[in-house]
Amino acid sequence: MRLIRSMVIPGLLLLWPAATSAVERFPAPDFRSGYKMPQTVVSPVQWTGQQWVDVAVLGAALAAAAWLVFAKRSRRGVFWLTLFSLIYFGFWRKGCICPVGSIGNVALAAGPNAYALPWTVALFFVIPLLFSLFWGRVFCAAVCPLGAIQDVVLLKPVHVPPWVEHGLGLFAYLYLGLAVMFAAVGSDLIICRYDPFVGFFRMSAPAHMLFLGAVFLLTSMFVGRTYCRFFCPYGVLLRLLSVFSKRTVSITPRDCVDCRLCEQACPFGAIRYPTQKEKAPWKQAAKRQLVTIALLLPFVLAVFAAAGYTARDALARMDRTVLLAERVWQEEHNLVTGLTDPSRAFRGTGQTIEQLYRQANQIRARYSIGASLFGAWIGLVLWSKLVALIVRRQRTGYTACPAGCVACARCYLSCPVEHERLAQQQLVVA
Amino acid sequence: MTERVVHLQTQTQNIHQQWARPAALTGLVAAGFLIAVGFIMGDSHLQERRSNPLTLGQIASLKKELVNQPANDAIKQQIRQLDLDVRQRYFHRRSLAARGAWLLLAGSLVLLVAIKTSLILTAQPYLPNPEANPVHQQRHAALLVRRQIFAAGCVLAGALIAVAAMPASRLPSFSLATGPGSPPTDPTATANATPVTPDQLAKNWPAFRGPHGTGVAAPAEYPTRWDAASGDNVLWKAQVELPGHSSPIVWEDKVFLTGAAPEKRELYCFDAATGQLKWKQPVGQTGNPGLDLGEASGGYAPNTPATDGQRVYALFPTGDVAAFDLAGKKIWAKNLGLPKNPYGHATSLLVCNGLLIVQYDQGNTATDGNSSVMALNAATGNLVWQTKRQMMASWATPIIIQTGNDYQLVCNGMPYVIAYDPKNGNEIWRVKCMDGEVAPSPVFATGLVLVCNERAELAAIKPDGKGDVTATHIAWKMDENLPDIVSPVSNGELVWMIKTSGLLTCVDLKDGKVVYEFDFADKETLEVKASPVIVQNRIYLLDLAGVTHVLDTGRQFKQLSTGTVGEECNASPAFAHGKIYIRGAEHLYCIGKK
Repeated sequence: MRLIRSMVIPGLLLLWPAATSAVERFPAPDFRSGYKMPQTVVSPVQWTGQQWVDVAVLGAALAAAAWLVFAKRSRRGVFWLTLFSLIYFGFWRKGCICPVGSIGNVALAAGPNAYALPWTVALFFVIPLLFSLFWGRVFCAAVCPLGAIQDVVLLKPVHVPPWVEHGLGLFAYLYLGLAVMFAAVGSDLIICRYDPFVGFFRMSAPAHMLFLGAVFLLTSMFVGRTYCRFFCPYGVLLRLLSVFSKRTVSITPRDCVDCRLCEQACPFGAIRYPTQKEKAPWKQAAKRQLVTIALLLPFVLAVFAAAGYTARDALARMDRTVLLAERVWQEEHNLVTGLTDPSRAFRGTGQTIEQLYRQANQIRARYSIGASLFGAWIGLVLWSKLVALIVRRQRTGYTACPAGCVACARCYLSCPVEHERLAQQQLVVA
Repeated sequence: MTERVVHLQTQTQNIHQQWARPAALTGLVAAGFLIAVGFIMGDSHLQERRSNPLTLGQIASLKKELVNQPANDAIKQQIRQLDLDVRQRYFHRRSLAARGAWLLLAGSLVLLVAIKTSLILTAQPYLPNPEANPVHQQRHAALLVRRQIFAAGCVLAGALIAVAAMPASRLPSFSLATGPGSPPTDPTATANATPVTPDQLAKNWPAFRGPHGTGVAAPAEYPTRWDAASGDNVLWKAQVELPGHSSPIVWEDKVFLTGAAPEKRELYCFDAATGQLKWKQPVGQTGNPGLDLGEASGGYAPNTPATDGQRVYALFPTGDVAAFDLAGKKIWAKNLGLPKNPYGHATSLLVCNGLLIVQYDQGNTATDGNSSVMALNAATGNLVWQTKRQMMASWATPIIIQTGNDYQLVCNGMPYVIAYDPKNGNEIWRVKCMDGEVAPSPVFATGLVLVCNERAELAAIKPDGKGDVTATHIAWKMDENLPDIVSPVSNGELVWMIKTSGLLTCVDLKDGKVVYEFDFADKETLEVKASPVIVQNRIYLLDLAGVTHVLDTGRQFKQLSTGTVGEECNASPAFAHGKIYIRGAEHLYCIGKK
């Protein structure tokens, strides 16, 4: 009896909001034509536990990816896990919650906004990053639905020259900086707003977003994972942490035999070639360059922060309140004729223009800081890139770049040593 | 053994080639299918755009037709049918798009699998070029990238600065130039004002309660008796299209009046000589922006317009304010935001030296922070200054008073009476003496500002102080028979106040002592909402029933005569050029000696 009561009462409580919300706010019109009003349908109450299930699935998928990439070295396994993630996180869960979009939520909560970060979103943000500290970008390998949809459409990858790869890769850092700034000042979550693939997952999106998604998918048929490599802001974080990863993908299971068969195996340009031992004069020159660049850091940061600060107004226009205030200001000064829908709506709210201006000015003040930090971030990224290009690491064989490798396991099968290992394995099984 | 391996390899290659072709063909078919589905969806979308009654404007034009022929059932039926058609089309399109999306998804999957299979089956194993030196290639690439990063840095920094340098990228300074010390944002406002001579001002009735807002008219031969029923001394009577509690104003040969319904607001101009409607103009957008006024309200047109002889200005409780030239051409219009006011914002406008003054008190408490008084450039509507007021909603109209060589803008509100510098909105003095819902407007007589309200007091304030002068600058005060709506009037010796219920009280301006009381309710049931007007030695007191009681301004109550228009009158009458203009519930009357 107690068990029944304990189940029935919460059940009734769950149904109660649905029942009350089904009451019409206004009486139905008295139709004389005999038309019968359809019954009001209320969406079922969303089960909040679903998000915790998503967190659990994320953790399990990451663990499975790490096992498949490092223990099993199985490209096939990674492929099937990729398909699973595409269906579950993409088409089933409609691309939300997503670690990529969670950057915006985290930045929003970190900024001066009245926003409490849900635990599940925080975990979605943190768990893939933690995994990257141990097993590199296994999230990109087979768990991210955005990566998955691009991975499955990859047909005939073309080799992107390194200078193009590096140049386009800067966009992701810019995008991350912009996304964090806009979210932190409370203006917009641009990563979610401009997610190019979520429209496909939901089978619905504005035409321009579907077009953008289609462009990315078509490009990804030939330039593998275009979005991941050149635009993904979460990829930036994973790249940075993967450099310090405890385990990194190794093309060969044992020593590299320098056969060069894996040179073109990575469709994402993440294979690094062996290097020659550098001579002393070059080392001296590199050291001088490094010292010079290190001394330039404060100057670079100051210049870019100043440049960002000067662009604060242009950036602040991303905020709807600022845009509305500007429009109302123009209307008040007869610089434009007529009202726009937002300005008409604003004037109908009863809020004073002064209140609007006050809010807009507060947001602009935030942009003064945000835009300066964004500028400094660009400076830091460019400076770090230069440093990374000057520092030459010694490599004796062909290796996967820890930052660029998405751990898809494609390169394994190009290595003759791997074939040898597999053959031995089969013999052992036999 | 080797032969067998070669044989097996050849066999595998043959099998691959056998399957590669069907896979490629399947891919081609899938591509054709995708193109066909895409074409059908695109064509359907275009057709929808070409024939949709919404995009073609059919419904809109039919609705316009219906406005002209409201009883035409055929048009109504047509609109209903088209409306149904639009909705059916919408859901049909949605369903088509959803089905199309699934077909595209399925087709894309087949295409991908087929092409991928074909590519895998025909793929050639990679053989590295033995002549290429990857180490040299990498060094060269690193050098290129370094130069590229440097160039990208210059471009990015330059782009940020260039964006900032473009004039259009700068946001304006969002400021209303409020508060003490802030300069006028539009200094041309007063410079462009065309001065009105004192004589012109005195002869006309340019705003609520006359030239100075005190309810005192310039001497002229005004009739003391009239009767609309018999036509005695009634020069003309004109129908007013929309109702309103706003009062008429007069400038030379024109009488201006506002009227409104919940959905629309209008300004009327009548010929002062004949009563003919010269023009009418709508103000603000058609439709109700959310005003829900109860019976206790002043209606949808309670704010009296104002004129400076060049333009006429109208304000409505929706926050719509507009300026027209005297020929009815719109000069500017704007919306100040819907004020939060339980009975509707009813404060009237005031023009002073090229500035249109709007007292915009609103909210339920003094701390709401929404109240302000502002000055707009009368020629352009641009904001010149705006000063916040810690006040709740009030309904009194401000006045301009002259103290020595200076002018003060006196605003009555709850709980303060505050004087501002009309040039820049800086506060000069304030007195805390008001309570309740403040509706009576202040008046100025013999150097004293007189303010009153029910539940507060009648206070005579000396306007030569600075800051909060509550303790020092109240010459006298009394708290008997205080009015709730009607503004007081003074001839410089006595002050008259009347409650809505008809209790008239005469007070000595020297010391605030009651001179006499007279309760109209003792004789007849009477209500008063219009404010009285003094002309020479007569007080014109218009009651709700449309009867004007003409009283003597002596120290004893004496009724001289009455005039009747025979319909409900809420608005205060206007006196100009020897004619009295009275607004009834439906008509505007012109009273004058025949």
